[in-house]
Formats: sequence, C-alpha cells, structure tokens
Amino acid sequence: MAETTGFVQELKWDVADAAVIALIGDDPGNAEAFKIVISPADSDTALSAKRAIGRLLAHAMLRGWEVFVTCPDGDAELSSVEAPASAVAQPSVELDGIEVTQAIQDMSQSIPLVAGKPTVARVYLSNYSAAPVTVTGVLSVRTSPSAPAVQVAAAGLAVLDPARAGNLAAARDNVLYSLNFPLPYAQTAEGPLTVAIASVTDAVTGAALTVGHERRPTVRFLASPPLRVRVLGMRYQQGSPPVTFIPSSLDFDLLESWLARAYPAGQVVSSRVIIDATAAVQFSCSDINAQLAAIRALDMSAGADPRTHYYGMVSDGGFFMRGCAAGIPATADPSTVASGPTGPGTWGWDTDGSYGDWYGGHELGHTFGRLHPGFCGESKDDLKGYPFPGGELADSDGSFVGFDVGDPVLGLPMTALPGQTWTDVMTYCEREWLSPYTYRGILDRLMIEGA
Amino acid sequence: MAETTGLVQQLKVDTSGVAYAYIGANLSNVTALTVQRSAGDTREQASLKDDIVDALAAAMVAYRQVSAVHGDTDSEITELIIEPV
Repeated sequence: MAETTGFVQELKWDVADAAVIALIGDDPGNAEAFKIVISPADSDTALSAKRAIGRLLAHAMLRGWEVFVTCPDGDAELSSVEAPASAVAQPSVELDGIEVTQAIQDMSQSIPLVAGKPTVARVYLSNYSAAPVTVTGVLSVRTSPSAPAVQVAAAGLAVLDPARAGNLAAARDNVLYSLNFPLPYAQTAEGPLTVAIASVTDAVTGAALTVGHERRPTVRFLASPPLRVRVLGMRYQQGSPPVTFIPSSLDFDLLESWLARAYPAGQVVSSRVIIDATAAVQFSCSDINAQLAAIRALDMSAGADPRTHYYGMVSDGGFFMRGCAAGIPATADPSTVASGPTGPGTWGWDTDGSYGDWYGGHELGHTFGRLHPGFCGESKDDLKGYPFPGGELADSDGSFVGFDVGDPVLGLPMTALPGQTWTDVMTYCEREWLSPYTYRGILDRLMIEGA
Repeated sequence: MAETTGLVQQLKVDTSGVAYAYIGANLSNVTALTVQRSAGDTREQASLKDDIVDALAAAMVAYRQVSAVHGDTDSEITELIIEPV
C-alpha cells in the first residue's frame, strides 16, 4: 500500500469518465495525481464510500487541510483519505486555525474580504508542553501557483500558555494570544491568496518549533468601490463673550480612520472642510442636514462625484447636538446626508480621544440604508430580524469576533473585539463596531452605489 | 469544448433535476451553466453529477474559483475543476 501526505492542490470531476482526479502534494508544482473511479460493478456501499472520499477531498482542499491518502502499490486509485493528516511527531505546538480578518470574521471565513482593505491573518496555536512559551513567526503567502511566495513577519509575540491549549475562543478574543500578521497591501489585491506557516520560533531561545495539524487556507479578496465621504465641520459661536467651537483635527482624523478600519471598503476617499453653521444655536441635526443637502446639491452641479456621502460634525464644546440622518434610503441614494456630535467624551468605553468616529459611523450607516435593530433604548426599525441577542456581534457560540486592525499613526493598537462584548454600530449600546449583519448590508449597498 | 472560469456567483437547485450555476467574475458578468440529471444517466454519471453540484456549492461559499467544461453551444457541465492557488 502506497501512502502520501500533502495538500489537495486541484480537484476535477469528469462526468464522461465517472472519475474524480485529485492532485495532492506540497505545492501545485509538486503534486501527484490520484483518482477515484466509479464503476458499474461498485456495490451501493462502495459507491457511497467513493463519493465520501471525493467530498472529504473537496472539503480538505477548500479548508486548506493536509490529507493522508493511501492507494494500492502501482495504482493511483485512492483506497482511503484521512483529513487532517496525522500530527507530525507529536509536536508540542499545534495549529488550531488561521483566520484572515479585516473587521469581523468567523473561522469559516464567511465574511467577504475586501481588496485593498487593511487585513490581518491571525494564527492560533496551542502549546501542549509543560510550560508557557513565547513565540514569533513568519507566514508565507502567495496569490497564484506561479506567483512567488511572500514572507510576512508577525507583528508581535504571542504567549502560548498550556492552560489555554485548545481554547480557540480565548485566543480569538485576545490579540495577545495569537500571532498576528498584517498582510502587505499588494497581497490584498482582488483574487485568491493562500496562507501557510513558514516558521514558528521560540522568541526566547530562537529555536524553531514544529507545528502540528498544519493547514493552508485559501481566501479570496473581492473588489469593492471606495467609500466616498465629505466631512464638514460645523463652526458656531456660543456664550458671552462668544466662543467659537469647531471639531478638532483629532475628531476628523479618528472618523476617517474608523471608517477605514470598520467599514467594508478597500479605500476611503475623504475630504474635510470647516464651514459656518447657518442656523442659530442651539440648532438641531435637521437644521444641519438641510444646510448640508443644499451644499451637496451645489457641489454636484459643479461636477463633484455623485457617490459621495456628506456628513456634518458638530463639536459638543458649546452644546450637545444629537445626531440624525436626513433619511434612511431603502435603495441606494448617496444624496442622503447626516450629521452628529463629536468631542472627547468616553461614553464609558471609548478612550481614543473622540467619540465622533463611531457616532459618525452610526449616522453614515443610516445613509447606507441601515436601520436601528432595536437595542439599548432605540426604536426597533429593522424588522428583518437582527441575528444576535442584545445587539451583539455574535451568537452565544462566539462564532464572530470583531477585529480592529488599529492605526499606528494615531497610536491605536490592534485589538480583538469579542463578539459577545461588542455590539453593532446601529444600536445604541456601548462598544460599537460592525456586526456581520451590518457589514454585509453596507458592503451590498456600496457595491450598488459604485456600480 | 468550451471552458468557463470564475467564481460561482449563484447556484439554483430545483427538484426537476436541474442545477443552474452562474459562473463569472461578478454578478453582472456570468455564464449560466447547468448540471442536469437525465433518465439516460448511468448510476455512475448520476452520482458524479450530484458531486459536481456539491462541489459548486462548496466552492461558492469559499469564494474559490472554478473552471467548468461544457459544449461550445451547450450549457451542461461535463467537467468541473477547482483550481490550485
């Protein structure tokens, strides 16, 4: 009996020959052909087994799992398939999974990846030895069989505590428990990307560690239109003697950064300007929205990009202006404007120096047709049924975990956002981020607006 | 023979025994292909066709590109390949 261990590089189903051909090996250029042939002589049991082998090969290929196959000597017809392949020499470090995330993701990679958007591959490892080990590593990624592999270094170290071995949920919920690899921009171009571990080393001793249960998932980046937004800071005076209030540079910076990190767009095309609010203080968001709509109409008639969303930001230095959108368009309509407050308040959880970022993300969400799902004191306007309890990012199984790739320019670190702690941006709850539900909804609307 | 390559953008399976696969670069640029069970199929061909529909579904949810071989003027898939990356 011949035995082979490798990754399923290609699968082909041939109706005329009633056969499945599998290329199995370490890489596409170094793979051996195997087959499953269904014959009229096969019993029902044999037919069922052969089909199961074919399905297992397909799942292993699409998940990037290594397989162990056997066939008779001198014959390429498969007798058995084992996936994942047996662990290599009982290594102390085992791979629990690789998750490629941009803002929200699950281990099935069910959330589409957007080309050009900052992306992090998170590698989850378990340590089954007696003592904790601190590791670093290198990933190898490639975009096609003929493209050169690109090596990507981990952004930091990960401490692998045996007490957490096998606890994937704990690893996903804490950025320090995974090796995190920010992918180079060129590796996030539209198309596929195969991710493999090149090395994992003990960061203290420099010794290379053998990793068991290796997997090499392939993900795909989809093209999406840019998010186009013009942010207008509204200047107003209040008090006696009058004091002028405008949003700070940090307010603008953090809003633009938050949209780039959280929204499903590969590029945020933004511009900013300070203008005088024409309504008297204490004006409302409806007053500001009316002024914005008029400005936008003038800009459009002057040739501005009609896909641009307009957002007015109002400093809360003088008074707090509650935010709102001028409408919630059921179909794509970038002419719908919105406005909201900004300032340094933390709201009990946001310590980056401005709350105008997620607040702006909420109001702009309305301009992309997103409704309130009905949590934490808001009206329940979205009757399609928000999928998770309490407005959270995930169900009780914690399948989805948010991830903030951070912004080094603004001093914001990479952060994992546990799905049962963080909530959807369209709620009124604390710790706001985009749920899978809202992420997909905005992505769909962006695609339509950009078409 | 012709070959259509792209992502499985949409899959429709109905009880008449026909599965429709819309394959292409994006939703607005697809080729509609079929996997059709017929009374003349051998048991082996019928099972292969079922497995092709399974593979189309798996490739679709994994955003994985496929190549489907079909006749020049015929939409019926005779071979399906999930390609290496």
